[in-house]
Amino acid sequence: MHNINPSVKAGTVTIAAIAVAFLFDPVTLLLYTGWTMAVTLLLGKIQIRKYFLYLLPFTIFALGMLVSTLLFAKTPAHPSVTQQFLFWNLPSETVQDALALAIRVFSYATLSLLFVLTTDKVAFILSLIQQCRVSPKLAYGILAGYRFLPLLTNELTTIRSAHLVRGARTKTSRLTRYKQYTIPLLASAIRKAERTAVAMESKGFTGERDRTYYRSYHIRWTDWVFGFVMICALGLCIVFSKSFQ
Amino acid sequence: MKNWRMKDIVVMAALAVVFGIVYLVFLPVNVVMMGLIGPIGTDIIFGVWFLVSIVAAYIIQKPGVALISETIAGIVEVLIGSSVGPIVILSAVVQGFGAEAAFTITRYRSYHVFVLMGAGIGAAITSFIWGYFRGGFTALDPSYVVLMLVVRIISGAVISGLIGKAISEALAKTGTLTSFPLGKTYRQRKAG
Amino acid sequence: MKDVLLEVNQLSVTFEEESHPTLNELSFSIKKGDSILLLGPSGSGKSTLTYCLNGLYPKELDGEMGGTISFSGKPLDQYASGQLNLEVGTVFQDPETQFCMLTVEDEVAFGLENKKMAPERMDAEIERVLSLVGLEHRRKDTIHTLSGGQKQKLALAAVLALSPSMLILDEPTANLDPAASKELAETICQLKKQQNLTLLIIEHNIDYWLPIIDRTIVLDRNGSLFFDGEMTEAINQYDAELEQRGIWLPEVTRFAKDAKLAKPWPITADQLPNGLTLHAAKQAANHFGKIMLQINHGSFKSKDKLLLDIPSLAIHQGEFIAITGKNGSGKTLLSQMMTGLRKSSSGKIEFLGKQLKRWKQEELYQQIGYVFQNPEHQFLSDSVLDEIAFGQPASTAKTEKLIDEIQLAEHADKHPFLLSQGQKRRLSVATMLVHEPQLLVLDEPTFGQDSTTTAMLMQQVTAQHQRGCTIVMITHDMELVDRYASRVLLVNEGKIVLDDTPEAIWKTADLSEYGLSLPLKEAYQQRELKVSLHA
Repeated sequence: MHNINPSVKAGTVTIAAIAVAFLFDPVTLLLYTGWTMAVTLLLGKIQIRKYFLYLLPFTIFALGMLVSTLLFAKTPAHPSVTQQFLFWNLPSETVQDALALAIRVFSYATLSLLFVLTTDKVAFILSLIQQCRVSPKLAYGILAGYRFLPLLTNELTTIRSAHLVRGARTKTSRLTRYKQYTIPLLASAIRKAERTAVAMESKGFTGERDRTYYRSYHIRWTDWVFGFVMICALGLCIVFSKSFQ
Repeated sequence: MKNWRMKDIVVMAALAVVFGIVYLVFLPVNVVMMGLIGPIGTDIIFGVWFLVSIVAAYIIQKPGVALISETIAGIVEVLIGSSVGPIVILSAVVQGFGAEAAFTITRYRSYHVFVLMGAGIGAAITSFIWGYFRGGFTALDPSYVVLMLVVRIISGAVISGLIGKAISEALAKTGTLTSFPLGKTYRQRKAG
Repeated sequence: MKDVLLEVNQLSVTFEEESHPTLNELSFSIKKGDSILLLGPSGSGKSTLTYCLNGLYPKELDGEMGGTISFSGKPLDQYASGQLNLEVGTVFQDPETQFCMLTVEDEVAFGLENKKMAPERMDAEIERVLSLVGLEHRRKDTIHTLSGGQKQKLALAAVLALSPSMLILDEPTANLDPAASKELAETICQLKKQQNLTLLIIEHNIDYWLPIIDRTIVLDRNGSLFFDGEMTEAINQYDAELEQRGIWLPEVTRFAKDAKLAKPWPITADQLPNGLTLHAAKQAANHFGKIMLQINHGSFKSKDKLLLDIPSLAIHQGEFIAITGKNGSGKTLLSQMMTGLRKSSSGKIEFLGKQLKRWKQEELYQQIGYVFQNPEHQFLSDSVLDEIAFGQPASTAKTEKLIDEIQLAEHADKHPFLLSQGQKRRLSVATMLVHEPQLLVLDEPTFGQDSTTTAMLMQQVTAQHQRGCTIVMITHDMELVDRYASRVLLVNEGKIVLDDTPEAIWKTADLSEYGLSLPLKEAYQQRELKVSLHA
């Protein structure tokens, strides 16, 4: 799984996620979620504990989705067809929709995790240049900016303590304080960015496509197989759940 | 990509990182709101998503900034990514187009507060259409869906438009933007 | 006759927003194989010059540029985009912002790719340049796990990968501690001896580079040429002018000057004559009051790693304490733990007889002032005036007095971020003095500052000390420690390994073990002692 070309992986996951958006059948979605999970865990060699830890926030989100759809659902076409859901008697359609939407959250989540947990970030960006014709200027610029993440997170912590000493907490409103954090952080980010851009150019970087690559990425037949299998699996899930009903 | 300076791009990426951190701060708020009042809770603070494209467009003032900065933000989000997959890049592109539209209509000549708010509204609308299919709003009561759209538009106009403008101008005051159009206008206004 | 590699002729740069030129009809030339040290007060256009030399200006310049620069006999504007950068490599000041890749080898490869080197040759080349700077063992590591000094070495390696014929070093040690600076400079000096590199070293710290430089260029405040010639000549003819411009003289020269030696002054320690009598510049020792701050079994853990372990420490009223040690030894952590900015993982910390956690924060930080390393982090307002007045009951007289004291009255309406480095530093210290705290902590306040700012800052601090304020200062500068501190805490790997008066520490400890060196006066006296023993 880690060896699948990042661009192909990203494309496949995106196509699958879009297709999922048009499915309203809880069974299909449940099956496909299970499939994606199995592929990730078995072929991606991910620790099960870690995997479910990542899924946790989505569970909360899915629950929210479930409840709110039940509460704010559109008027069903056949309100008389009802079914028991926990303690309530609700229109079947509404329950179906709510379940589908909640499971859909998991579908998205598992697809995202399939990509995120098995893909090297730099490889993804480099593959975008090499396979998707993304401009090197854009791609390397993004990598350069991404490097600031730990620096800026640390800086935010320092700014907080520095403001604490000045007594900012008790003397200003919450909104002003957000501003007092954000502006220095942005200012520092912009200055860092400018300096980095200069450093990159002074190493002879022109942003043109005409360059060589230390790490090169190719699309092999296994990549196509992966994409094909992932999409076919979705088709199979649809067919299977139809025949099941 | 030819008429982009290297620093335009790295600055957009750096802005995306900062707003990525800001967004992470908002994430728990999002979940709580969602729990309290349903999906509309998300819409209230949805404007935070477009902040980066409005701030970047206002600072750099070039055609395409709103779209590209939002796209970069999407990619950065994947890189930071605890859990968002590549689909977020597509969502970002969609939002970016919405924001960019407002600047295209004014032919990149005006960065008046109404245009900035318009960009926030544009992003709100396109993101809503996208979300309508992706998030399955079809299953919801139409009047509720309309309410969601209205809330999101207001959020786009206020959070990304007004606050975005305020942030950019506060930045101009620090003198960090001297090599960008916004910094230059600010200086001229101060001098003249 | 050596060939002229770089020729700068009547170079002027005026930024759009400035009324005066930043560089002013500057002319000089550099021959192949030269090592040139470029000095100048802050704001004299040193960085602007770097940008001109590596071709970034006039492309990215908002303003006007006049005069000509040619490299290898060819004007810079005739080089194709990116081509010149393969000839003139630059290492910049900030170790954090010179990279765009995540791992060491990828970063070196980035330059090779720009050069369009065939991928199959890259492996060997990466190995070669990394071994030049001694980083071959870190090849696969991510960059953010490197120390500041290692990052600068990587920046150097990435530039060497381009095999440039000239290297510009734009204040490469400005963000490094003395041990790391020395190591980087030694690496570069060695490279210089191995290869016939042409070097332009822009620096504020002269001492590291003395072994290799053969010429010195000094810029004036207005960006014009002030001096071009031998270092010894600059020092002996223009010492007053240099100091007045905030330029640090070599350590030994300062020492000779303080000792009132006759000119010509030496620039390196071995040129110092024997048998000098030295004046003690130290202030009279204070009488210390009762215990103000006490730590009992304090520790700080992060992710099960013990980062700080302080069995017991007491600080008395009126002390002037210097905390010193290597980078990453836990100095800042210690100072933040004792002031409650970081919660200790265990143990008891008492300030003025009351446990830290029982203090109300707003009351605590009226008594404790903490000056952070980066002044910008402490600013809260949009103008210098508001910054000082912040959180105060409107006592304008006091505000004005303070603003006068730090000589910022004419900048009162300016945004604090727009001040110069030195001004920002003064302002950040002043904001901490508003409440007249009983304890003032400063985290490397003189780091990277020019001599004028350092002098003013130490005046500010001394005035507070005389008022009765207890001072805790983190610093690497042993001259400052020797001059001001009444007590030294030497921190290493999260523990206080030495706690004594400076004088006692100079006599007993082997400082080089902790990346520090003796103050010159002490080193001189110890040398004298050896001489007399031999005689």
